[in-house]
Amino acid sequence: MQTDDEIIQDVIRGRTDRYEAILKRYQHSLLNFIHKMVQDRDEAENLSQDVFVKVFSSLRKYHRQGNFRAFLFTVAKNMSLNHLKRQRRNIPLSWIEKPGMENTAFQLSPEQDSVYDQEHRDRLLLDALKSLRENQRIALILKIYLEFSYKQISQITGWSVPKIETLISRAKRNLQAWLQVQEREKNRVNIVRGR
Amino acid sequence: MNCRNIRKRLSALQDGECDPRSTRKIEDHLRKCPRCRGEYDSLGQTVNTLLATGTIDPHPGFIPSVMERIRSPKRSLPGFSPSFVYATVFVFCLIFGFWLNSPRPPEVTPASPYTLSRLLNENRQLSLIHVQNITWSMIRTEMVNAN
Repeated sequence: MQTDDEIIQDVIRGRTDRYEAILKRYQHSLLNFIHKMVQDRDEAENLSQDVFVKVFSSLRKYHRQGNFRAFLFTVAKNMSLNHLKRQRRNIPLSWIEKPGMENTAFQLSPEQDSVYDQEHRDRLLLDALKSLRENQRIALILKIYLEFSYKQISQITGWSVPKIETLISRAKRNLQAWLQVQEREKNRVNIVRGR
Repeated sequence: MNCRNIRKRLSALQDGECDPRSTRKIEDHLRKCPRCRGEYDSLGQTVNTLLATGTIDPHPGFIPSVMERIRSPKRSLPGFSPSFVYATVFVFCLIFGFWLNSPRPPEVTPASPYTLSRLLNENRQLSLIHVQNITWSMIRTEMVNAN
């Protein structure tokens, strides 16, 4: 199997069709990374395409030999953060100010609990990830789902290794606390139903 | 290391990011301290819960769509990258701004026929006075010589 760098060299020499091999290799992991960042499937698909096109157009700037994966996810991280910034600017005030909207994502109703299937749990876990600060979320996703080392995450984000260790540790604790709250809520609903 | 310092490093231990010396120390501590052990297990459960999240698959048209965009890129001007165009416009505006603010030499307007004739008259009068002065000085010199 050809390495990333060999394929990239082919593409730079003019064999554009070879880029398809890169797409096949990374489309799944990149899409899931962006999906966990932006929480919207359609947006994640569009952004993933944008990332691949941007990476293609800046292949000549790629000098980090043997580290294409880090290069790709650096671009993905930057574009996801830009997207989230734009999204924050575009949130309608009526949505923010609507009373009682703050914690709806985290509350399990009895109906929801009865259909507590994989899809629903995924939605809740995505909400849990969303509740984290952006830098904690990036570091955690890169570590847990994409299995980058702290050193590689440091290359992607530009943060120091100790900072990454702290961010991941805090992210795990915050999620742990969130899951405990969910567990208590679930137990409370079960008790009420039992009566 | 005390419990507080140990707990700070539990996540790194779980991620396999501790050096062998720290790993040995933390593992020794975990064997002795049930509270830290419980914390470690709980973090492990959190990670396992996260890993149980389902993944999504790309749309079947994902790769063809990207390849199509790559083969027919959009460009603002043929042959020029957008950044080159922006830079050129910026430099042009800068030069134009400097030119607008630069000091100018005073404007010289051509003299009207009236102004010219006035100047000539003045010059003629001045030269007459000059001639008169010379004449007077010659007469005075002659009178002095005669005496």
